[in-house]
Amino acid sequence: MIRNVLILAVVMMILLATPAVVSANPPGYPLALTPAQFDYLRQLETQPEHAAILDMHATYKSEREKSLDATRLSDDILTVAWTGGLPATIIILLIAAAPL
Amino acid sequence: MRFYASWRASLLAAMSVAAGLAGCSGPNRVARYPDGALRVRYEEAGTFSTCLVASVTMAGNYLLGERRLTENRIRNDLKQAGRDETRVGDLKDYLAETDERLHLVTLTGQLNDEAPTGLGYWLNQRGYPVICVINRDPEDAAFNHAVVVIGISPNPTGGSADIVHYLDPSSVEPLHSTEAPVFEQVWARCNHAMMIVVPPPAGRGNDLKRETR
Repeated sequence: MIRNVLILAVVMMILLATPAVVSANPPGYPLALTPAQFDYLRQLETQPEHAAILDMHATYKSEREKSLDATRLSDDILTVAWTGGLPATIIILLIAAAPL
Repeated sequence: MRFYASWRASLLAAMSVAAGLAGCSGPNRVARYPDGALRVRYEEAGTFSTCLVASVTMAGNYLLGERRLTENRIRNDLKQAGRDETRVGDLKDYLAETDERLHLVTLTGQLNDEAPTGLGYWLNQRGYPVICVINRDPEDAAFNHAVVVIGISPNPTGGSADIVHYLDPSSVEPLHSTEAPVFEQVWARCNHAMMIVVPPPAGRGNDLKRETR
């Protein structure tokens, strides 16, 4: 009886573990580099075609950023118009109402 | 007192509405990772010039196994050190000086599985996300943009071209999946620039720091 249960448990463990093992591509965690691999990479990086990457600049204005910039600009214009426009309107009304 | 309470409730309600209208919902998340892709935590670029910083953050955190790096922290550190947040060499120097002594491998890559410059080699055989610089605008050579490639998988529609999956730190949709020839085209405009964040071999951390200074 115990033997059957143990066999069943082992079979279940194999069945449950198999999909994880089969689908483990790529590795679940980055594989460590050996000192030799690391040194080779560092040497490779010094070659002119690879070393040129160091001076590359990555900066990109995405469509979303362009949209945000446009929104910020319109907000600034509205703020200035509102800030300046309200006192001006009050002054105009006061001037207009002065004869009364 | 009643007036104060109602005023406070009104203010909170107004702030909630404003936050909702402004899309203040925190960093975007990847809804579903493609099969076989690395589960790299997404980091959003705060400004248009920090796509490289955000990409390095994503790759670094994946290697470290937790969110130890943030885009904001790296950006501030670079600023204080007088470094350029858009330049690859400056990010490389910065990583080497962090507590983790990480190394940014900088190579001209290719879209195959060949070691050590193949995209597939680092992704599928070594398990590292790869930062690639791409340019989607053929009219502007300066529109270089850093993204994090997290997987290459067979085409689900049955096409012969594989699908390249990458996280874009500056996009509304974090995950982009594009056919390999299309990716190759935008990658080639940036000379196939690729970067991999790796740890130095055991016991080499201090040596690495000393050499890069």
